[in-house]
Amino acid sequence: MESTGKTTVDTGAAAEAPRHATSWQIFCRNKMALVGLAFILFWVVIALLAPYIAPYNPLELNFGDKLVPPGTNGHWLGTDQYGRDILSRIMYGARISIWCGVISVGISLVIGTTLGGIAGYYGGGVSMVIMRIMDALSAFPSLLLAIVISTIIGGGMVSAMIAVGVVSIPDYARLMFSQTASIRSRPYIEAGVAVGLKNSQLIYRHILPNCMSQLLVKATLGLGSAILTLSSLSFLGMGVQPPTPEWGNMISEARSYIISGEWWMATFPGVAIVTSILGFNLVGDGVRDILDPRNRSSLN
Amino acid sequence: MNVAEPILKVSGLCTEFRTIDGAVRAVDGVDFELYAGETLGIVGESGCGKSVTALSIMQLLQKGVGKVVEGEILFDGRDMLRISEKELRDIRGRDIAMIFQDSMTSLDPVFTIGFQMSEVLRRHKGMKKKEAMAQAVKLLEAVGISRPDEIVRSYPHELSGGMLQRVMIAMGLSCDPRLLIADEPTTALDVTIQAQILDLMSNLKTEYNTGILMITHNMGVVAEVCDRVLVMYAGYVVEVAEVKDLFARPSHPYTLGLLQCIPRLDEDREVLDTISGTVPPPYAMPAGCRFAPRCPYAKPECEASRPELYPIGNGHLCRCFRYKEGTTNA
Repeated sequence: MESTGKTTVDTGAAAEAPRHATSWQIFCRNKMALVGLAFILFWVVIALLAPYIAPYNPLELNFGDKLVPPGTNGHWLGTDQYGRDILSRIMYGARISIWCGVISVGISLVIGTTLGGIAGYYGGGVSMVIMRIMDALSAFPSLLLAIVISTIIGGGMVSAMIAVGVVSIPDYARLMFSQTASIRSRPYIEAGVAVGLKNSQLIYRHILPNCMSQLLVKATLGLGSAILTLSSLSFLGMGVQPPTPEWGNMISEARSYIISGEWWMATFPGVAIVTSILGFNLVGDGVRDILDPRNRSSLN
Repeated sequence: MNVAEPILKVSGLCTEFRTIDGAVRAVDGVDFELYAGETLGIVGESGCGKSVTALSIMQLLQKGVGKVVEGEILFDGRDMLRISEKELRDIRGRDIAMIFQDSMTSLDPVFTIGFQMSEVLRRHKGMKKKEAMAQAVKLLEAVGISRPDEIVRSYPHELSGGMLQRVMIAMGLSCDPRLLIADEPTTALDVTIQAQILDLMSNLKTEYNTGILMITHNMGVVAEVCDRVLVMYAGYVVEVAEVKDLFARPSHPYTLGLLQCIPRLDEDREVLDTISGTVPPPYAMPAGCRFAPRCPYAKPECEASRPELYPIGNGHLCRCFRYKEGTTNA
């Protein structure tokens, strides 16, 4: 806040000078956000280029080289029990894991925000019906519900994404509901009504942007848990089916080998999950900084 | 001035709020007329129904909670209670503008001043984004903001309360409204800024011939800007008069009490005057005169039946039995 006074004094000199820091400048101020962005870009590039840069075919069996430790025979990260190259499987797995995470968070974000926003804005009977349905949905353990949903719509990757998306709708709906209900009664919304804005304009132009920072934090954290739930589903045999490379799948296959000493089978997919989730969380923080107008005041 | 049609005519306005204990009547039978180029003040202490009156006119009462149950609000001959939601949205901001008490929270914190001002212009005047921005700069200049081209790019948290109130006024005037409702526009400001804002409003009134409904609890503000005054107490009007007349011969005991509460410069005193007692709660209104329990002149008659607004000459009306015809003045 101390920068406010400074800005107003300084700008007398040049009317052309930008008054506020740009989004990118604010983002760059948060060094951790840049690290996060690097992680995400890294995984996106890997996912896109997997067919060109993967040293082996991820599905290729090679029993001569099974369970070799990292660095043996050109297998940089070692091989699994069928002699499949871990590095190649992680590269191909990036395509599925990140893609599934983004899609399922997208599903719950869009549906949950809409429902919660409607409930919070209109209140009364509408909110009763919507929020009680949300309560009912979240009464089930999320993994159990995901299993039920993906069983109902049939196994496979798409149904797993939908299942994970649907399961977390109540989280977003609740967040949006409480935010909207509180912002709804703020004077600037009343002032908006008083200048003749429509309900839809108030919701999209004034309520949603004011909830955005909370939603973003929730979504980036949710992305991590979506990838994890997807992995758990795969682990339970409901999501992505073997032999398709998927990070969660790889860890689940590796579980019986941890004790016997083949640590690389579980560790490297784990590192992949951790870094991608971390990347999204850090970027989420950076984006939240951009959304707070208070951060725009100072230019340096 | 009185030959012309009033731009706003409120008659028999009653507004109720739903509470767990049943309906509570916050405004009970308010009548007034407002002409173009005139400033009408509504004065009264907190909870007397002055803000609810304003919200009723704008139809801004929270749905399902507050409701106008009786009466008529004619704006420009149109009944505000009967027109469609769409017509209402067109009137709000274009024909009737409202300035709120707390300018700090009446602007959306995540958008620039310029964005919010141009939103109104785009909504009601169909302006393009650039055109609206340029207009916003002109409007800010008109309300006396220096460096308006910088202020349009500022966020609300970067400006002071006085500046924000100017922005709100500029926004209110952006579509040349016929009626401006100002709900305690200067209460949150310090006295020097208060004087500037009131000056500004007076100038704009003469310039644009806007009718202003000034809601305040501050007798100083009333004396400064109002042409006519409505004194409200516990949901109804107790006195109506031209501003000079009101200060020259305040007639209702409540108005007298209000004026006595103002400390005078030429007096030396330690304790300020107050009106003893409190406003009766809306669910336990006395059957007779509502001010009777606090009134120094109260008689048994006052508690038994409710006084009307009795004319006492020069358009001055007063709701007190002391002015009823045939009664000897106290």
